[in-house]
Amino acid sequence: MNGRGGAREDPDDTLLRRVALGDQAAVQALVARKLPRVCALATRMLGDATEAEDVAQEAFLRVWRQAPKWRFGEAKFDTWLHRVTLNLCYDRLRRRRERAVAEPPEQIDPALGADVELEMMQTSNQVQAALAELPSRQRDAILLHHYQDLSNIDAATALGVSVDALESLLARGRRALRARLQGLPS
Amino acid sequence: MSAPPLSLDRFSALAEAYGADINRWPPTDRAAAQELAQQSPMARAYLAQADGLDAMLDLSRVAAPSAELRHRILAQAPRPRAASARAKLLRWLSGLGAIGILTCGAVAGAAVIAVSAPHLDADSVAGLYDQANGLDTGGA
Repeated sequence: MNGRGGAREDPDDTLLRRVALGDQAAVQALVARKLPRVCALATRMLGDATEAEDVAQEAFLRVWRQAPKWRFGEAKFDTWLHRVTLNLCYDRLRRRRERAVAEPPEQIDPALGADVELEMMQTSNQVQAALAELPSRQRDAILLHHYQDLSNIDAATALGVSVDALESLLARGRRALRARLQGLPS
Repeated sequence: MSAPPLSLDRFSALAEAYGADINRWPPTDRAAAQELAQQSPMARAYLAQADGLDAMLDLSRVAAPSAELRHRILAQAPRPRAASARAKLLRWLSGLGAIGILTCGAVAGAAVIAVSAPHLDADSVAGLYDQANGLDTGGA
């Protein structure tokens, strides 16, 4: 946790306080609010749904451990959770590189028999592949800002860079994506 | 009060970085950007270009988390805090106190009955017995 941002209002504070007391309704609400976001980020970073689920489980284990010790008024919980998820994904990507696995990451099987569904899945995979080819910092900036809907300040905080640096990463990443995705039906 | 003007170059850079939705741009630039977008066809062209890429990015879909994952995560979540040893001791002592109060009450009640009940000697008891059995013990 860092102290950037001072005593900013954090929409997750109340829920986190209740989670720290073991309030089961709050636990369920926090999982409902954050799990889809954590899973989406991990899936897009890793390109593998099973690994993404492992990352999500580990990220929440850290949330449960951290909740009673959380220093309210310092870091924003959502930004911290994104930072944790990014780090868990970086660990896996590093291990993957070390193993030098030749085969591409597993993709989710499309539902059989539905042509439209199949086409959408293929398009989705093309976008996912284009994202995966970006330099990692550019990809992460786009994931955090476009898909995770973080503000420029929160995305920069999660990546540990300045807002200007984030803007530069986003612009370069989007230019590269535009070149790669030309011809894709939008 | 109108916002400080934004150059077209800066507008283009912001659209390139943050996409076509001006509400997702840095808060300090939004008002000026909205104004420029209304006035300048070139600014609108930058937004349209950014919107094309946003739409392509939105074609990437990810599966929702499985119910099994949700259950695994919930199973690891904190439980309601168990009572501390001090709280348990206090609860035990208060239980002990209640028992003590009840016992004292019972003893006090018995003592009051013993003191206030009429004293009966052997003759009175015999008289009561005879009355109950219809015997005249009064003599005549």
